[in-house]
Amino acid sequence: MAGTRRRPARGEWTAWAGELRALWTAPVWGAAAAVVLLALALAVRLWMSGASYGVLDPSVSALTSLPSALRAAAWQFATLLGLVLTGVVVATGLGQTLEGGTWSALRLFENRVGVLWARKAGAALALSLAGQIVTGVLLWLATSALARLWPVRPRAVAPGFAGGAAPTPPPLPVDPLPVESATWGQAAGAIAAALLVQLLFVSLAALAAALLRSVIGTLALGIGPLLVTAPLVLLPAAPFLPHRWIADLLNLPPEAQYQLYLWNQAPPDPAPLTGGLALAAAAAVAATAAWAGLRSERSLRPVD
Amino acid sequence: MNRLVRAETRRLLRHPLGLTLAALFVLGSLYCAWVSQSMASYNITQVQANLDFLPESCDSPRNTPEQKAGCLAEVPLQAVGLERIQDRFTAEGVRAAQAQHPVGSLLWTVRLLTSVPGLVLLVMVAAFSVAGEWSRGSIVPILLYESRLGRLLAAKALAVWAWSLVLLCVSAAATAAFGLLYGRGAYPLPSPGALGTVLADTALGVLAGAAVLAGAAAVAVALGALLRQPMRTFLAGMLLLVLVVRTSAAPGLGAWLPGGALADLVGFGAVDGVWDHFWISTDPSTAPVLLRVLPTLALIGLLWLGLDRFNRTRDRA
Amino acid sequence: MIGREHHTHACSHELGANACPPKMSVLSCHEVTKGFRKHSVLEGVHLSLEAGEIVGLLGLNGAGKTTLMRVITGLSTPDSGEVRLFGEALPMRPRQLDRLGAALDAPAFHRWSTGRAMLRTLLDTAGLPDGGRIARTLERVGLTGAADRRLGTYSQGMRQRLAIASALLKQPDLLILDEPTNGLDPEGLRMVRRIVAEEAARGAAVLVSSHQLDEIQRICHRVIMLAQGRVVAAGTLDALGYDPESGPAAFEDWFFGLVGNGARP
Repeated sequence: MAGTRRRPARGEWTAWAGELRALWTAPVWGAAAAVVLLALALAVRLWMSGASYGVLDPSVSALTSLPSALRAAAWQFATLLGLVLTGVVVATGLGQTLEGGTWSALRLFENRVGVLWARKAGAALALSLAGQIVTGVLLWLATSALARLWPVRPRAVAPGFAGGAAPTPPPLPVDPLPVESATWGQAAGAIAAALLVQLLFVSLAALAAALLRSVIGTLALGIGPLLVTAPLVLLPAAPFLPHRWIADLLNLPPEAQYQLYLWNQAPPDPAPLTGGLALAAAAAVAATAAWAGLRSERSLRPVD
Repeated sequence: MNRLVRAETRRLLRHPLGLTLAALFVLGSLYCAWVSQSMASYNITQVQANLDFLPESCDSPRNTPEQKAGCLAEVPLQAVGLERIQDRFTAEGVRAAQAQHPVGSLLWTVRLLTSVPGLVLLVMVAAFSVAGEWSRGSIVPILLYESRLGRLLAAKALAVWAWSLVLLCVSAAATAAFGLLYGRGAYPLPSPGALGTVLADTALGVLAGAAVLAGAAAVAVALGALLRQPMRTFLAGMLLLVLVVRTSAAPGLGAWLPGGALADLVGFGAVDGVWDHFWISTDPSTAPVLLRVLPTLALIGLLWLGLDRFNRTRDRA
Repeated sequence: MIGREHHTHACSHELGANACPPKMSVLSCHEVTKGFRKHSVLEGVHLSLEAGEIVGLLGLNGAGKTTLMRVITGLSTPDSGEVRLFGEALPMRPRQLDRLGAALDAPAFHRWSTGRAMLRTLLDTAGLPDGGRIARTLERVGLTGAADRRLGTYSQGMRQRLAIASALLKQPDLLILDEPTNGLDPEGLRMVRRIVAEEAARGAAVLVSSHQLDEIQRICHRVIMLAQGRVVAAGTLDALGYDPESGPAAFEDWFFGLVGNGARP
């Protein structure tokens, strides 16, 4: 009898592997490669501009140590470049699935929307983690090669440059590079923080996908609100904005702005924990809203 | 053709995506105006306070008479330095004050709309409205009603342009309302100039901006028709935009390339807000800007010619 | 017979009476109601399917066939009433979903994906191993040669075949096909007939909707007729007063006699 026939068991790992495989699309890899190359180009440009004066910004000279390079990669993935990459990943995955109406076909194979959503978010975070590691290693290799080709000394700074200490005039040559390296613990912390930020980006983009059910709509509403509200960081409203929480959590050094991260110039807050908690709460709210949107019957109808 | 353009424009104006993008731009533009007014007003107040304090700055009881004499001798020099800063801040204030003027806000907004944020929106709209027709398969019934693809694409480009002009008006109105109702009281700024000057500057700026938006719509629509997939169109558009911005400062050539010509045509040149940080033509040229626009127009023409040729040899749907 | 189905179960002449599998309730709907805003789509629908039977769902456009199928597959939630699959009430559990195969609406898959990759994605979504079933299913629907072509190059008929393949992939105990013959050529029509018969012979219950009245007439053991969201007739063709020997035109007249012109008040 049909009902008593033995059926193959569901394997969660098979599903996760499939989700990662589904990321293998030209736009995702194109955007990921562009992000990595842009991060490299920014660091190399800063190195070369410093090399011509014989001194380097410590944020760049530190990249010759692997943990510092990984930390810088985490900064990039938690700011504008990571936001755009996340938008592309979610738009080509979930956005396209909803736009084309494939979402209902998937739901006939896995009706637990929470599980589907968790897998998609997990796959996007896995891509982000891989991207951070690849970018970090490439930054480290590139700056190590540059250090040999154009050996320059770093500009000496007071300890804790990440806190915004003013640079002092260069004293005697300092060798060897670097002076301001991150520890492995700091690198791991930055990567973990970047993943939390990425979870917020992924959730916002998924919410946008569920609301507008289109590729371009996902990009616009997934990335747009954070870009649109960026100017407000310069007003007293800053402590209530995710931009500020991100800057606080990652302890973004003002000196490295537009070089090792592309984000606002919010003055750092001495309490990154508050930013972290606020971000986690925002990510949880966005993820829940996205889940509710993806669960609705509206999400099963393709748009015109 | 008219009917096509009207139908397409109506669709863009009513579509949730068009509305979302428009709302994002209006809010972003408003926030930029808010921040630039706040910053400009604060800077002007601060530098004036410093100037006012300058004569008393040597009066510290800890100063010895010699130190005081040395300090007083430096006051004129410091005043000159501060006045220079004040001039710069005042110029920025005049620029920001346009957003507090019912007419000048159009000029303020058109500069943002023809810069990175506005052009990104145009690429998105074209990716949806043009490339989306192929990805959704809706191009087939459309071509059965209008078989001339060139005409159809021209209508789409005109509709995207019309959408951007409507967006310009709505956004400028929102910015002006904010500036008049709140900005003028909260952030006092120097006058943007006599009404006649503001009118003339705005008219020229809006004309130039409208021309830039028309060119940008033509390029974005051509990209969508070439690539026929929304995401590819968006990524290609972003790449092109990065190229346009990055080449605008190329020594000796930048002013003749699209980025430099555009920046000079619309009048970029000062930081208007967070969104518009990095696109300033830094390649000086004495040639008239209308002459320097010609290579860009030729490139757009070539793009459409190439598209027309390409479309003759491949499937239309 | 109006509003309640007739539970007499007779197998078609194609399968023969001896091919009838043992009866087992696979699906039952009780007083299912569903509406969108103020517009009522399903009103108090009752039906049940047993293992091995093929039931045709008939009705004019807008009668509620697709909505009923979406409710049964758990994609839509009924406003009231109960749906039981394999003896358990919905909401759907994974163990129920693993026994359900469905092809609903117009198939819309990723255009850049290939047919094989699309089926792989669906299996991955369920966390189920391939074990050669993708190749076997593609062969059953006649897509082996086009399995590695991008879906953007598929014809409408090929996409329809792929949708049917997606429904067969889990070797379901309940197979739901919404207008499976749309866009298919004569060979495709024969394929659908063959697949439906094979699945029923294997013991699966099949619920199939179609506007091809002669197809329904040829393959179904029973029919359920919907009009304006209500079951207006259900049972074997014989029990509903249709003479199988009277030909397609007579079937059409008989159909309109039961469902009326379908116009909503």
